[in-house]
Amino acid sequence: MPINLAKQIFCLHIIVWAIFFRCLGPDIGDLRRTAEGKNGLTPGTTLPAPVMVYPPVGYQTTSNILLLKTNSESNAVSYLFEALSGSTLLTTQTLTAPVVEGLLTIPAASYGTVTIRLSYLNSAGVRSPVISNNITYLDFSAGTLVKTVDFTTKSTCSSCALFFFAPCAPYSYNPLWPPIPPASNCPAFPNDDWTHCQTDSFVAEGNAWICAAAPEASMLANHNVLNTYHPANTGFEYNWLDISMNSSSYQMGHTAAATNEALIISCRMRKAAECGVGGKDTGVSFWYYPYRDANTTDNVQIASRDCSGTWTTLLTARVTAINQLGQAYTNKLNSRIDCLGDYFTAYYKSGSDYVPIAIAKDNIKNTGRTGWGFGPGHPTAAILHRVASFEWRHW
Amino acid sequence: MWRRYTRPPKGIPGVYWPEIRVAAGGYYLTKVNDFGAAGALALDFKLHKLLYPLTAFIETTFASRIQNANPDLISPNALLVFQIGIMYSVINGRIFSLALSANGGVIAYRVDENADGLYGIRPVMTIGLPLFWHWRKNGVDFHKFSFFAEPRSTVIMHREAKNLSAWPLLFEIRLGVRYAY
Repeated sequence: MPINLAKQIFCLHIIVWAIFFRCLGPDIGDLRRTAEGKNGLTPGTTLPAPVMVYPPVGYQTTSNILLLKTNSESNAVSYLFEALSGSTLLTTQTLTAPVVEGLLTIPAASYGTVTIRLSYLNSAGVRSPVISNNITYLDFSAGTLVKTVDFTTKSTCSSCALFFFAPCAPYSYNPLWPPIPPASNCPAFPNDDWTHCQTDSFVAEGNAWICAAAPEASMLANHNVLNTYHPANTGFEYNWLDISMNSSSYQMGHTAAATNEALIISCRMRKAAECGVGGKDTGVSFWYYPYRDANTTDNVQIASRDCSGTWTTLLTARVTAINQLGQAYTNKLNSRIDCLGDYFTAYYKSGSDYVPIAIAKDNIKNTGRTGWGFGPGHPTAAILHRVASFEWRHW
Repeated sequence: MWRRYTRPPKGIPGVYWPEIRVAAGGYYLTKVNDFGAAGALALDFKLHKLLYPLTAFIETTFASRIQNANPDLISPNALLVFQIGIMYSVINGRIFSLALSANGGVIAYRVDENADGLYGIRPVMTIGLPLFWHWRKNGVDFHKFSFFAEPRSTVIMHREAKNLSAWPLLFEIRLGVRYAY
């Protein structure tokens, strides 16, 4: 066979295969894949404020949800949670003993001081107050939900605090949130090392962080707070009032990625007993891999996890910025997640612009993940956060 | 005894003009659980005067999606299928006849916004079972009009050729008319 003819046949073969496997377009039934600038969002434009998409009736009706827990009173018949703005009763929740946990849904609005009040009714028909706390609210649509706790009633609230899950950031991005204590004041974070988040306790008391390398027991003794988070716990130790909250734009510090790694988030966190979709130990994760070449390989992945531990990829994408910025210690990569109803959107920040990475449908309602992660809540306690926006920085 | 296809269809003697077949119906697409409306146009050619039950045809199908069951999946919002095939009439009654068709070709489809591209082309293979009802005038069959209903099943090739479970199936039901000159 003449060499030219062989070349022609070879080239034709390559062309045919190239057409067949690379130029035939997407396959029916595969996951749609978004990319930078897709989904109607153009890179280089400032991202508008998230549009609140409220959950369907029967699930949650607003975004402002408080988880309230109390200890079990021996002679309690029922518990009553109340939320008041001034003298206006916003919402109540009555729990029949021995149930000690409830959710208060606060209508989305601007409030001044909101008082959370908890009482119980004994078998003799006598109602006794359990605790009274003042919580300052802001309009969630303005980007911030819960800000501070006023401990003016501390005399009746001997042990109470706001707590945050994994508030491990070398500095506070949002001035509304208590700053992370500097290393000199906090032996738990000697080098602003995020790894201590996995072993140390921390709590926000008033507007300051309290942290210690010791277990939470010593914190209780030293700092007179009850609601602390410790990774060794299966959940929070709560005796009185226990509040989790949505957060907006708080950051999590992290060392530069040494290799491909996964960052875990969930828009909805609740521990449920049942297995299955929306059940126990399920969640949605947003992973990125800065050491993958975005020119040839998808380096962002969003996956869901069922309670058996099986991960299912919802979406993958190639994001050059993750590849370029995620590796470098000096190139900080800011990311952002908006949880909007059934969807969450991931962005990275370029200058002051938010560049969309991916949009994925979140069909997971609950998660009971343990280990480290971050999000507007903590991974083990029961809390629902259907609408949230938060942001973190990848060092 | 009367028997269908014992004489050539109408037309210029010795020249077998193609019959025209027009149909409309609906489809259901597996893997994405979408359904939509489809229309088809075909030309049927008699291959040989001694074998009138055998037909070769070329066919074009257009379909448009009505329901997109899962917007997270890639699914055609419109598709066009070009096929060639053969059809053999296995049961030939005076009023009804039943045929078996097999054809293959290419599907071209357009999908919703997707980073990998908006258009796809794939080979397809189809089998169908058209049931004809022949229109008669004064009880006489003219081989002119025939109405038919045809369930069809089309398999669409996937990029992962070895993973047959990934291949979508396009189920169709068609109602139409065939006209012979």
